[in-house]
Parts: sequence; C-alpha cells; structure tokens
Amino acid sequence: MNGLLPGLYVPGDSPVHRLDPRVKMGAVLLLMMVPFALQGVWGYLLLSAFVVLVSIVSRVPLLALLRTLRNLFWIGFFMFFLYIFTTPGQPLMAWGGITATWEGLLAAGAQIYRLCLLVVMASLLTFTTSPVQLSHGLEALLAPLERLRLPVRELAMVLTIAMRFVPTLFEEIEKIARAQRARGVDFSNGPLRRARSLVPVFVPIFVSAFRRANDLATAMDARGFRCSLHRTRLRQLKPGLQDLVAILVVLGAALAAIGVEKW
Amino acid sequence: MRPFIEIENLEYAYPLEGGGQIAALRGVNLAIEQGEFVALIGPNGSGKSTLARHLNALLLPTSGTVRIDGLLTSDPRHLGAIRQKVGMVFQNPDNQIIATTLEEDVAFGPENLGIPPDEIRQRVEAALAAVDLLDYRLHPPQMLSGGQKQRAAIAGALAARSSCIVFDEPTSMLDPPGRRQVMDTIRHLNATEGLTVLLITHSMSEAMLAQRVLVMAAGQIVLDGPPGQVFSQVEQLRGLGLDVPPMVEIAHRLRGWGMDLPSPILTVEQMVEALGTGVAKPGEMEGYPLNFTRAWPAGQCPAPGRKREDPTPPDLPVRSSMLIQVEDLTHVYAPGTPFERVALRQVNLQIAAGERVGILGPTGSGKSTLAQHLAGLLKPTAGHVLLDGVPVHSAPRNYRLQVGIAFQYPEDQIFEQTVFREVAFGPRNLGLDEAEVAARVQWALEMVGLDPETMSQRMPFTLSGGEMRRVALAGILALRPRVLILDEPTAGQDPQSRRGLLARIRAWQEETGLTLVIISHDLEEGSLLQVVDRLAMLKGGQVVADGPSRHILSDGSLLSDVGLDVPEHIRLLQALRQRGKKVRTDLVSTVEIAAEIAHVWGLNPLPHQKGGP
Repeated sequence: MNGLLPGLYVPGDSPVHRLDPRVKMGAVLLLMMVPFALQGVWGYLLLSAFVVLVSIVSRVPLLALLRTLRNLFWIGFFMFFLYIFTTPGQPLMAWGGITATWEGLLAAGAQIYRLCLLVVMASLLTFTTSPVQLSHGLEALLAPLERLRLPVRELAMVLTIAMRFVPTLFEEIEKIARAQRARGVDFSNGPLRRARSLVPVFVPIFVSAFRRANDLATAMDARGFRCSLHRTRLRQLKPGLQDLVAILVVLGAALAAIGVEKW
Repeated sequence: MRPFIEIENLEYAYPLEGGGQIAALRGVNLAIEQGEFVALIGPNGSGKSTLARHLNALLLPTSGTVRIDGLLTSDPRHLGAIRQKVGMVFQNPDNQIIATTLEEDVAFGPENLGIPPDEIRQRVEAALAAVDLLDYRLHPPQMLSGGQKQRAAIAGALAARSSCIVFDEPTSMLDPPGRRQVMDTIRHLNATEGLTVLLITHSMSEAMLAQRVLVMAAGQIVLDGPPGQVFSQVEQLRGLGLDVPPMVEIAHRLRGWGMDLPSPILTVEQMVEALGTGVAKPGEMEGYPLNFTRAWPAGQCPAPGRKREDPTPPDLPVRSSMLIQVEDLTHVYAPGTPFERVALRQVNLQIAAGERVGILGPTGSGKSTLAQHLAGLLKPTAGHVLLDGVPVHSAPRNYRLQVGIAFQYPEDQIFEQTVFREVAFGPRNLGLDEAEVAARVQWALEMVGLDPETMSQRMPFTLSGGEMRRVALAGILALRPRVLILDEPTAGQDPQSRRGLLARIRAWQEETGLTLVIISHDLEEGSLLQVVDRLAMLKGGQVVADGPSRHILSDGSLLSDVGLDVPEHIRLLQALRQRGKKVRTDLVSTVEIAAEIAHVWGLNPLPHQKGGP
C-alpha cells in the first residue's frame, strides 16, 4: 500500500470517530452548504478555523488532509483561468482579445478556496468513518426509499464491498503496472502512447476483478448470504449524548460563520 | 450414531461451454466422523476442491448423495442449516473477506443467520479470541497478514457455530509463519473444541498432522488411512506426482540399501530414534565417497557449526567483477504519511555474472522491494543499484530491460489474445524486427516446455494455471535478459509442477548462463536448493547473512533466526550431530543425506540400484 489514497479511512478512536455516521454525514452536508452562503473573509476564516479544530479533535494528521487537495490541481488550474478571464472588472493584464481582471483574480481565489474546503470536509468524513459505517449510515438515511421498492440494503452491501476492495484494487494496479514496465511498457511518452500503454494494465485488472468477484460470491454463498434474506447487524446505530452535542456544535459553527458577516 | 459427513457414490460432472461435460468426481464414497481431522491430498485437477464444495452445497451431486449430519445437501430446505454446520476457508485470503473491519467480517455469518446484535457481539468476541485475533478486531483487512486473514476466516465460521470447517488449500498463499499460525489454530480447535476438519493441502508435512489422510486421483479416493500407512506407499504416491515427506523418502532409500528400519518413519524424531538403534561406525569427514558435492573444492568445506561472524567464504568472486552492485540501498514507502514504512535499510549486496542466488526472508523483510530495485523499477530513497556500474533505475529503458523480472503470480499480468502476442509483447517493446521477435517467441516457448506449434495461437485465458504461468515466464525470457529475477516462481503450484518448474529454471540458467536471482520465503522443503547455490537472508530490511547455501545451512540457527522453516532433512542432520554422530551438515538434497547416513552407518550405498535386497 503506497501513500495515502484519497479519502482512505484512518482507524482511530477519537470523539469524531465515535459519532453516529448519520450525524456526521448530515453535518458534513450542512457544512458543505455554508460556503455558498458566505461572501466575506470573516465567515471563511471562522469556517476554516472550525474545520481545523475538528481535524485536531479527530487526530487526523493535517498533512494527510491537505494531501487530498493534490488531486484538485488540474481542476483548480482550470478554474483559475476560467474566472480570471471571464469576470468583468478592472483590467489587470490583457493579451489579444482576453483580459484578466482584479475581480477575476479574487473570484478565482474564492472559488478555489471554497472547493478546497469542500474536499477537506468530505475527507474528514471519510477519514474518520469506516466504510462499513458510511454505508450503514447511508442505508439508514435512505431507508425511507425502501418503501419505493428501492433495494437500499443490497445497494449498501454493494457499496461496502466496493469500498473494501478499493485499496486492493489500487495495490493491484500498481503491481501490474510495474510488471508491465518490466516488459518495456512506457507510461510517460505522449498522450496517445500513454493511452495504448493502459491496455496491458487494465485488461489484467479486469480479468482479476472478475475472478475476485467470483471468489467473493462463492465465499458469501458459503457463509449463508442470500439476497432478500432478513439480516441482523452487529452494530446498531444508537445516537447518544455526544451526537446531540455534535449537532449543536455544528449548527452553532454554521450559524456563526454566516452570522459574522451580517453582524 | 451416523457419521457427520456421509458420501455415497458421488459423481459430479462440470458442464462445458458449448455442450458436453467433464467428469470431476467418479464415484466417491466417504464417511467422516464428528471431531475427525482429515487431510485430503492429490495432484491438481484430481477433484479435491470439487469434493470440498459438495460438503456445504456449493455444488450439488450429478448422481449419488451427500449427507451432512443426516441432512441431504440436494434438499433446498436444508441449505441454510448445512451452510451453518459446515464452514469453508478458501485459498486466497483476500477474496473471502467481505467487510472493512475484522469484527464486521466475522459477524457476517451470524448476521446472515439473523442472530440478535448482542449475541453476535458475544460470538464475534469469542471467535476472535479462539483464533487469537481479539486485539485486531477493528483492523481493516489490508492491514492484516495473510495468516491473520485466514485465521479471521476461521473465526467467521466459528462465529456461525460451524462444527466442521473445510479448508481448501488455506496455506498455499502464505509465508511460513502464516502457515504455522493457521495450522496451529486448526490443530488447537480440533483438539480442544472437537472441530471436524477436512484439510486440502499440497504440503505433506501438513497432511502428516492429520489423523487420517485421503489421497485423490482422477476423481476418486485411491488411498485412505492414517498418515503412517498412506505415506508408506512411496511408489504409488510418486506415480501420482505427489511429494513424499522427506523422512519417508530418506527411510525408503535407506531400506533400499539394506538398512533395517522400523515402520512408519514420518518425523525427524522418529528417524533419529530409529537410527539410534542402528549400527554406528565412526564416520570420516574426508574421503567422502560420492560425487554429489561439486560446489566445494577439496579442503574448503566449512566445518559445521561455524558462526556467521566468520569471514566471507572463499569462493565469492572479488568485487570488481560484480555485475550487480547494491550499495547502501534504503527504501521508504509512503514517506511523510501515517503509513510510512522503511522496507530496506542500507542494504549491500554484490552479485557476479552467472551466479544463482536465492534471496530468502519472511514477509515484510523487504525481499520483493529489493527485487524490484534490482530490476530498476523503484527509485532508491538512498543508495545505489548498479548494473555493470550504471544506476539501473535512471538508465534508458532498453538498458534496464537487461534485467528481467517475474513477479509473484506472473500469470496475473497476461493480457493479449494469443500466446504468441503475449510472449512477443516484451521483444516488440524492445523494438526488434518481426523475424527476430518470432524467433524469440519460439525459443522462449520451447524453454518453458510449451510446444510453439500448437500453443502460439491459443488464447492464454483458456489455459490451465500452470500453463499460464509458463506463458508469463516465457514472456520474460523472450526479453533475453542478462539477469533474471523470479519472485516466488512456484507459489501456489502442486508438488509435481513445482519440481518441474524448478528443474526448467535450472536448465535455462545453464543454457544461457544468465544471472539468476530467486526470491522466496522458504526453501520449499529444500527443493530451491537444487537451483541456487548462494543464499542471502533478509530480515527487517537488512541482509543478515550471505554466502554459499551449504555454508548458510550448516549453521542451523541462521534459518530459524530469520523466521524461516528449517527443512526437515536439515533438522535431521543437526539432530544426528547433537547425538554425537559425525555426519556432515552441509548437505542439501535427500539423496545426499541418505547417502551420508548410509556411509556413516557403514552401509554401502549404491544409488543406481533402486529397490535393494
């Protein structure tokens, strides 16, 4: 296992880890909406401070959290140019027909920062919530949809298994890529050759994924799993006092971030 | 009382794609009592797994019956009960864990049975305690070792209150410590909890631990009895392509040369005991009569029991002539993250052209990382890996391709539609013209023992596992590397394919003179020693011993210090020396050892005359 995959669960026993997954998912959804209600610097500062506080309480290394932002590089790059050239305002620089503006620079900065906040908040959720808990929480949140005959439990099971195999899959891609490099595949040369060089990696990955799926289905079968079976769960979701406190704290932080600007 | 498992006239045929069927079981009759520990051995394709899958109704008989605790598996109403009574543990530890933490996974069975949450928790904790994994219950599976994953699978069956577990080659993908853990757990549960065990295995030393051994061949049970009785059928087992435990083989040879030994002899202890009553004659270290040991020139054979602080043995070539030079190599995975791990610490290793080196070490010792460095696939965190004086990682691609490397389970990298194209992939990447590519493919396929005429146009994915492995290896050989690195080349193969593959590897080396590096976590019960003559031992990312294999082996503590299994026949020599017998301890094959014992005990070994008086 190399490096930290984006959004990989970091086992731990912090107060944040122990929260009910439904509460955490709800809180993150709420907090993710807050930046869209913010205009000025103070709100962002407050919200950022809150996020840093939560990451300290949850004992997720800040560096690991910031690392997840690396994946945003190209999107950020693209957004930067989009905003800086398309926002009308005071000209900053001009080439040919296009003009970069001060307002554009500010807007680009704000948008990119907003995006980073969203990603960090989502990562905090996945870092502190085991995939089983995530899918359990999702299952509980979506439970009302079962009345509409949506197979929510089966979907949650599929989700759990998918998440269980993400690290395995990454490991395998890395291994096969290295094996093919040892046979002369070049992953660095030009987009066309690069696309061609993916075939020797992804064909084996698909073959192995099917074999794994087959093995896993057999193992599940052997352990008595059948669809539409009435199953019980080891972990019952029981919100406690800490969940109530968490809801209040998050609500307070959200309101404060929005309120500080109006004030 | 009726037996727990009752099988009568069981036949099973797999349907073939495009019609027809192929018989896998041809009339199996078997009864296993509650609490028995039964091992099932047999060559690949003999029907072992097919039989196992009938025991919890994953497969249903084509004809005949299977009853579990009196319940017919063919009756759909019993399906749930049968799957609860008979648990299964499969070969691949990764492909049977469903959940993302250990305790959730162990809970999977009870959850399917609809057990209330409080009772699931009790059962999960009891089951994890029984396999000694309670401390790991919140760990995600990718952070567990192979042995731990298999024990987790056992806990999963225990939590469902299975009274019988069928193990389908549970240890074949594990390293020696993992194997020991799993076997200890199985024996413990059988002895203390009365768990009924059916263990499918390729390892004769595991089969010997059972109370009863079944041998399958071509869909039938051909031998059935206690281990001593079954393993005394040396010729029949060999005829089926099965291994014979090393002590049985040595005893067989000694009897053939006229030594009077009691029967059965299965373990080292029994052998030492039996030899203790033999006629002892002072043996001589010099004047060794048989020409088995070419590696040691006269007078250079190290005295047994030397310590590793000894100076470098005399026949290591001088440094300037080294083809591969590893200098102060350090490798750190995921630096600066919570998952940071130092895999190699300042490793130094020199390998001369044409050497045959085995790199041994337990899982996590850094041996696979080292192998990838030798092939220039990883960038050193610190230090250098030089091929002919050039850093191989930063060298141009075609320079790097002078080192060929086959990873563990190399068949996993196969992707082309025909065998020809698969083997041609590497040579084409080298930029060779098509005539040369075709010549190399032909040569490489011949080297791995596949007929180019019939194989070239076949689809790789329709081949057997053993054939796929050989195709993958041909794909590496076709690069005509100067250095060939093989990471666990025989992993997961049955004894006969294992022996065949190792013999081929030795033949490639002799034909091409290439430099051979084989990575392994064990000596494969000694068979690796037929191929390599130098061993480098890795532990905790460092080379802790390096020298001619006979030198390394003659110091019995070296292997066990690193956490590796000492092959039984090496243990025998050490035990005999402890008893004051003057046997040499630098011998590697069972033939040599049998001859040495015969010599020291005053027999006249005539290895050419099989059978004896």
